[in-house]
Amino acid sequence: MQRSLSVPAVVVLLAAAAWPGGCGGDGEETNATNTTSGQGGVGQGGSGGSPPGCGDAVCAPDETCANCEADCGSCACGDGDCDANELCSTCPDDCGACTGDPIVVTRGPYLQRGSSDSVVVRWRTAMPRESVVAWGPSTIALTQVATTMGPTTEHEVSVTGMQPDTKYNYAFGAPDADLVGGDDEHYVVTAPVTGTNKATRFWAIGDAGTADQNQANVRDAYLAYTAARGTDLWLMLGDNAYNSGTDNEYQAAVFDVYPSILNKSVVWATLGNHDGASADSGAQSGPYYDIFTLPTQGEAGGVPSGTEAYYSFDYGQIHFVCLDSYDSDTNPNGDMMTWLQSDLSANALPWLVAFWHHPPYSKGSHDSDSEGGLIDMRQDALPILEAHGVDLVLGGHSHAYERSMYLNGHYGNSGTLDNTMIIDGGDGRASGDGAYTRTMSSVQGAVYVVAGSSGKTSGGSLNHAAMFLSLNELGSVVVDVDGNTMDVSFIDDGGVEQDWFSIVKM
Amino acid sequence: MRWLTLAILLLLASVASAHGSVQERIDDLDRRLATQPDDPELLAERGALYALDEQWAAAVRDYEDALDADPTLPGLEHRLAHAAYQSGDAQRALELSARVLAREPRHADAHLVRARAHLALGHHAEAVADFARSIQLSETPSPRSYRELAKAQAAWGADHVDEALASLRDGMQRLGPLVSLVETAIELEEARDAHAAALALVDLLPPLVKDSPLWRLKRAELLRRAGRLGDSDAALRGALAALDALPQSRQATPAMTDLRQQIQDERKTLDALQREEAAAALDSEKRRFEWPLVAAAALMLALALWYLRSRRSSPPRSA
Repeated sequence: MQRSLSVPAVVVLLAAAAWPGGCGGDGEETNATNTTSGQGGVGQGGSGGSPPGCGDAVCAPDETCANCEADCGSCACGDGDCDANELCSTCPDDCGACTGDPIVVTRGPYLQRGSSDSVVVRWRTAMPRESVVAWGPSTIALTQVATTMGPTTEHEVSVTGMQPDTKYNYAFGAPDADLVGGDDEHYVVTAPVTGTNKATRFWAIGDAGTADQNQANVRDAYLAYTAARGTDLWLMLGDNAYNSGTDNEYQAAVFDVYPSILNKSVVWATLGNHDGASADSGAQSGPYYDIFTLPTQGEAGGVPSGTEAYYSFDYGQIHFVCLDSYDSDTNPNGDMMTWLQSDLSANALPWLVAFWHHPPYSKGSHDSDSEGGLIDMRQDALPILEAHGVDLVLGGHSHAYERSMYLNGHYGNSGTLDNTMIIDGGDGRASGDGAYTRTMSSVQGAVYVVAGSSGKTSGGSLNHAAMFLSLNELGSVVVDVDGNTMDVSFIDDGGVEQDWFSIVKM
Repeated sequence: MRWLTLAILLLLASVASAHGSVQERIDDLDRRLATQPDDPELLAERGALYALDEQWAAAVRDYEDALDADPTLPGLEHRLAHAAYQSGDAQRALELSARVLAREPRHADAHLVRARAHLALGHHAEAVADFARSIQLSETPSPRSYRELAKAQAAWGADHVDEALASLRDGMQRLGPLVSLVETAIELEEARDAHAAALALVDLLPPLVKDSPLWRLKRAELLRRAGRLGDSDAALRGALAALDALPQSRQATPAMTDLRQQIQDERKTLDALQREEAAAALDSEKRRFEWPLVAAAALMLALALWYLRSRRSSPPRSA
């Protein structure tokens, strides 16, 4: 299922050769410049109605075969016209054979900023080429096309006009060459309509970027655990590529390690201190900001933040909030917290999950009683999040797994924890002390998880008073949300479920 | 690439000690520096750890020592300037960032540090120029950059509030109508009682924000301050309706419970003002009706007096 190494170019090319819409025959060139990013999609369904002049027997500039078949003719492959939704690789009968050199993919593809109607597909090529994504409801019906203008090695194509909670296959490449992908391994499932329930699984890894066997083992254990269930989305909790988050380190620790997940599940990242060594949140520059396409204008739900450093997005019934604990102002009157207040005030979804790198509570390889970044987030972010009913907070930084009891109102150091702050001190397991429950009369309580052992363990005293369990074990966190229940598990590098708990909303 | 280059070098140099708590890593460097007290990279690395831990005075000391040992270490002078500013020594930060900018005039971060130092020293014109230059040099400036510029302009004096608002508008143009920018602009407009302008700013916000109960309440408050009590009343009812429309689980959160209380408090304030307004209107109405009555009464009285006097003064009729 998963591959432990990067997709070598030869494999990519072989995949391209096996692409169902293979090229053949001569004909006219694909018109790759007549579509704009994500707007050129045509084919089944389409979006929007016909233009006002449709039916006057003239194919006007605002009309295409997709929105006015009466005037512009059919979009169907084989009609003799190389329409905007057709490429040499998907419809050689109409567009002719591909004449360009095969593309050499050196990174990706990877899915970014997914929403209920769009996704961004990114990849890197060895040489500058135009960018195109062909997509559709199955591997044999990639009936729509999205492009980005201009040759580049860093390809970023926004695919829009998709249906919610729908699986689409895709292929990518250059419009004048055979596409890559278009098989069962290259697909995206769009997010459900915001607010609707869908059983959702997301995966969280923290401090994973060691590019070694530890990281690979944690990945393999998760893939075996989730198996055919797959991953709806995943979170990188920072320190995604050691030691300084350089582009080469990202290649080795992210793109070479997770290709089979990156190409079918949208990943959402937060900045760690090691990523921050080569990135600048103020200017949104450096490899981290170059590599990830994150929301700034509420493209996937939530209130626009204006920066990729912190953002929010919706997935079904879950509102996710990503904060920057390393390089943005955490002052209560600063931009990030001002945005957070408004974002959470506008949120109507029942589940609220927040993530950032520096955990508010930890006694692992970092100490939340003495380190500024951890203290700042505890004192500045937690009161806002808890006031808005946060359910789960995920962090990394300490290279261990630490999981709190069901807490509320603990903003001091570990010595200040008292019983009034512990809503439920049990194990949170249905089979044990019972799941953590939230009722209308008891609306507070959240679990704080440090999941910083997805690439290494570094010990520490691991005795924070707020924690129900602390483990110096490699692993990652799996979260399932369905209806009124959230189930959280820690899967170690051998595939053993070392911890689990549930939160139930009555 | 600016001072970050140094951070990379430092972190790469410290693979062995990159893990463990900040204090543990500082302790480790203490031990290594005991035998190599003048090693500039170790000093700079410890300075970076102190900075990470917000121990700014210690960071300044280490950066200075590192710079003494090797004045060519890339990016160190800028980091020292930043640490000096954070430690409260704005004058030193000013001098250091000026030196960095003399070498690298397009160093956006150095402009930012110098701007903050200028502002701390009360040099408003210079601060504004540096903040503006920092934005100019950034490909993707953050919302914070625009707010800092606008706040520096506003602090410069009442004559510069329009410039501050223009800077915020530039920010909105470039980054979108972000809450933090709009909120800052509203504060500036409200400070000069420009209520209509403040209300127009609320309309710039995306629907998700301006239709939220929080921002409906803010709009109601602005309308009340503008003296538009009827509109404020409607906005307040809208805030309550938006709150009631949230799922029960969201309504029950402490933030929304608090917001409901704020709406109720605002309702009381508004009701009191509306009562005052009604009473004043009634009073004025009463005065309007009373005036002719009093005048008529006075006229009648005058006529009666005149009549009585004329009767008394007229001679009796002879028999």
